[in-house]
Amino acid sequence: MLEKNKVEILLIEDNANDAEMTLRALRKNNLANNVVWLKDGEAAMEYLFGNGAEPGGPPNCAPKLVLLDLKLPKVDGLEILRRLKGDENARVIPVVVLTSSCEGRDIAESYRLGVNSYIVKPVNFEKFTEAVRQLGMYWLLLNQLPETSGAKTNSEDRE
Amino acid sequence: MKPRQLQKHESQAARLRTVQMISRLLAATNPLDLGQKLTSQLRELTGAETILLLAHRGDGGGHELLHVCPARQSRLFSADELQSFCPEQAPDPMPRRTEDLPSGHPMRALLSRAGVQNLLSFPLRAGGELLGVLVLLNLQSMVLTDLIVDTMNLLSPSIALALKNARAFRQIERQRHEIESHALELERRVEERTADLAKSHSLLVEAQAVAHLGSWQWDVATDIITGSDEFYRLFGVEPGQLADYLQFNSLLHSEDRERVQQNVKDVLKQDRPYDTDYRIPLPGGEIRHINAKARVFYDEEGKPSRMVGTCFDITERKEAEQALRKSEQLYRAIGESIDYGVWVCTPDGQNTYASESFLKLVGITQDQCSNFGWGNVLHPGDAERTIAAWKECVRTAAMWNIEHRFRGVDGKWHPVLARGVPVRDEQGLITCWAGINLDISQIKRAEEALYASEERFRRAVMDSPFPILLHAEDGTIIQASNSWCEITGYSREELATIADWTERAYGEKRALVQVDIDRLYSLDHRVAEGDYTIRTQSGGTRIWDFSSAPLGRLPDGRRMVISMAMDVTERRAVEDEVRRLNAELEQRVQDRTAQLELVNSELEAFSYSVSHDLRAPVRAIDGFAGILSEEHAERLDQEGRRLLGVIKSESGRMGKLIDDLLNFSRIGRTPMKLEEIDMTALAQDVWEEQAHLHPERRPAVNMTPLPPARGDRAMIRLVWSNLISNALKFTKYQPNTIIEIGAITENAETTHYYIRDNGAGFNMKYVHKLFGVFQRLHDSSSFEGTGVGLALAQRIIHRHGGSIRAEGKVDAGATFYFSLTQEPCKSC
Repeated sequence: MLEKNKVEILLIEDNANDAEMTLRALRKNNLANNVVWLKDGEAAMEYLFGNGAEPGGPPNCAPKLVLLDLKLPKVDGLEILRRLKGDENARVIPVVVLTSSCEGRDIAESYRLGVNSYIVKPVNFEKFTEAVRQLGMYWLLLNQLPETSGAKTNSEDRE
Repeated sequence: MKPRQLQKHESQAARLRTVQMISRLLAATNPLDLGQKLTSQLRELTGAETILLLAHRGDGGGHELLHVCPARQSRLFSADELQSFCPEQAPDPMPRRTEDLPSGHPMRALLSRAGVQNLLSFPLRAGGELLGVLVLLNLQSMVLTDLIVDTMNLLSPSIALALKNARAFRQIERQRHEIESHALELERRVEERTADLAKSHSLLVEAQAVAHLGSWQWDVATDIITGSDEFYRLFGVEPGQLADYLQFNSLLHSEDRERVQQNVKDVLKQDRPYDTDYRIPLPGGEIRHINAKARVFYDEEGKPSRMVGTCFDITERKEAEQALRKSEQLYRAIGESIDYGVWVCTPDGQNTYASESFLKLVGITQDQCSNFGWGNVLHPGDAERTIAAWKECVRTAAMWNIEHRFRGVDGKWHPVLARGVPVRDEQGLITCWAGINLDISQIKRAEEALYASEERFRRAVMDSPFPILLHAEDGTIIQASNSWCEITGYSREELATIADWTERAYGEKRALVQVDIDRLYSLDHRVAEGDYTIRTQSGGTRIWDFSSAPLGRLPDGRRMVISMAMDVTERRAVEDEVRRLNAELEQRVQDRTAQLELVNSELEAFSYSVSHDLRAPVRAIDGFAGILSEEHAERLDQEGRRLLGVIKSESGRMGKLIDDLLNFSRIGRTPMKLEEIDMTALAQDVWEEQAHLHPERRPAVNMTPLPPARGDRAMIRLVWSNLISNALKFTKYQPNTIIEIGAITENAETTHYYIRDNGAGFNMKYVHKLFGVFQRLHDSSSFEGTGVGLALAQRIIHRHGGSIRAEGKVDAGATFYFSLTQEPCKSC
């Protein structure tokens, strides 16, 4: 496992197949150097906010992008989204929902909670690969985050 | 007559003229005025200052002053003093001067006191009877005294006679009913004294004229009729025209002649008084009625020599009688016109007159009626009571007012209202009874009809299947229907008053109910009071639904109310049951709804699962097949690569199926946003989008402008999208694709949009499968698709309340029509 402050992409996905395809797509585009894959919601919450951390406490890591599936064991994706966007420091972390659900209410609820982007996983492999490539390129290379983040940044590590 | 002084030189003839003049005066003057006229005349003639006319009472009562001229001197002497002038007491001869009276004579002082210097006194005698004294006082000149004395001596018998006649006249005046005998007597006396009383005849004339009484005499032997002036006046003729019996006869009314002649004959033969009435037609056309009376005088041989009699004018009496008769006829006519007429009874109750109409009705005669025959034609049920009442009425002189029935000759009973009163004279004595009989059969019939109607009403109430109660505002129960008593079990005796009812039926709640009942009496319309629970005799309860209405007033003014109840005990029980069942049903509906909602949410959960979970494996299949083909293709042979292609193709189709199915499911649940849609623009837009997917075909569309529609834009877009893609799909083997889009407006209301192609078409036999989910009429190798598109289009159109249909023929193209109503059905 990578050191937390070096993590660029946090992939929260319970489906191993989807995770494998996502990671493969990122890898093919040289975007998978600092990716951490978490398989359930509980694990994700623990990773982000620390086990036993008091509720409302700041995140103990600040990835450049969180790829979040919604339907997760134990802790639901929307719950993780709510926690992230409800936290003053974690709010700036871009969260992209990458899910199978094209249900209107999931989309609406996600945006209401402050998701940065919502992508329905294409069933078609080529389209899926293309989608992952684009969002990785966009959020990691094109998108600019604020300099000072409330979270423990990894600025020193970059230098 | 012009008054003048007698002159000394006047001749004997002149003196006689004076005498005649006075005589005529005596004859022509009304006896009542005689004294006044005579004294004033003599005063002028003689120049005396005062003239006294004293009348001798004739019965030894001395003299009384008849008249004095001038009248102011009437108190010159007292009644006693006047007696001094009586010839039997006065000095004889009476000295002409007062001073010549012997001194000490009582008369001298008397006269001196009265200022009388001279006087002349003339005793008035007729046939030796002293009738009075005429005294002239204070003559102006004594020179003419002798002449006056002479003249007065000549006149005094006439004056005496006139005086006597005047006295007789006064007697006639006082005793008018005896005037005939007086007249006859006078006539006889006049006849006896013709010589003496020639001039007194006029007095009789006057008397007769006043009495309209004429006297006459018929000398039978000579057939000469003589009569008084009044006699001729009564006949309206001159004396010469009524001088004999024949003339008399001719003057009579022609209808009376024979009878009068017969009367006269009878009277002459039988020596009996003649008393008959006859009529005389007068020249003016009037009829005079005469009552003639006479006596017959016979000569020594017993033959009738003359008839002496009177004629009395009774025209007025006859006319009065006639008028009375007319009036009686009038009343009789009026009486006859009053139903059963009028009746008259004696004061003791015996009928003396009954109208013809009554007598005819009951078929009895007046005689029978007078003998209480009317009692025999009374209804047996009325007779005793009526007769007793009549006797009592007569005894007490009360008003007669009774109803009874008479048996008519027609065999029917005639109800009659009899009314009568005692008729009283001035003294208040009952002279008769008078009354009327009124026909009250119509009133009776109306009463009977009313009674029958009341009886019907009573029975309607009594036998009504509904409980009915009639009650008055004082709390009296007038009537309770049988059903009322039957249902409650209370007898009528137990329900005498409203208080009885409320106590039995409502127990402790009676006061509340009483308030409701009291309110009813001021109603002016029907009112539905609603349900009341009443207690029955057996202790059970019933529910009565009451309605009440005002029923006017009783004769004594009490307001009455009719209350009717419907026993709704069973109905209310059923209603309660229905209510209970309804509530139960409601509960079941709610339960079912909840179940359905649960199922719905389960379905949604299912959709969500499908959406989320089903895609993952498909994506994995496609994804790993893709990885296999990308990274390991060189290790596969051609067959392996083909199979990998199949996997990829089928997984792709699977993904499409899932997406379509989710769309289809979502369309049914998504709320619609209705708006005005430019169908031409929308269809054009979709066309271009779809045509763009087939650039190699360069498809063309023949589109006419479409009427706008109202609907959910996104959904309608899906419809067009499906229909256009469908058309493009099924024409893909057609070298010359012809697609037509247009609209037909039907009845200016419903617009049918259509799209026609010349593609593969379909067999109409399977048209019903066209819009089913996953239904396909072509194999998927020829025409790709999931079989959801048309089902989705139909679902959208149905949600808009419209319809969609298709026409087609194998290899000859297909046409799809759809319409959207303005207001989509909400239940869709």
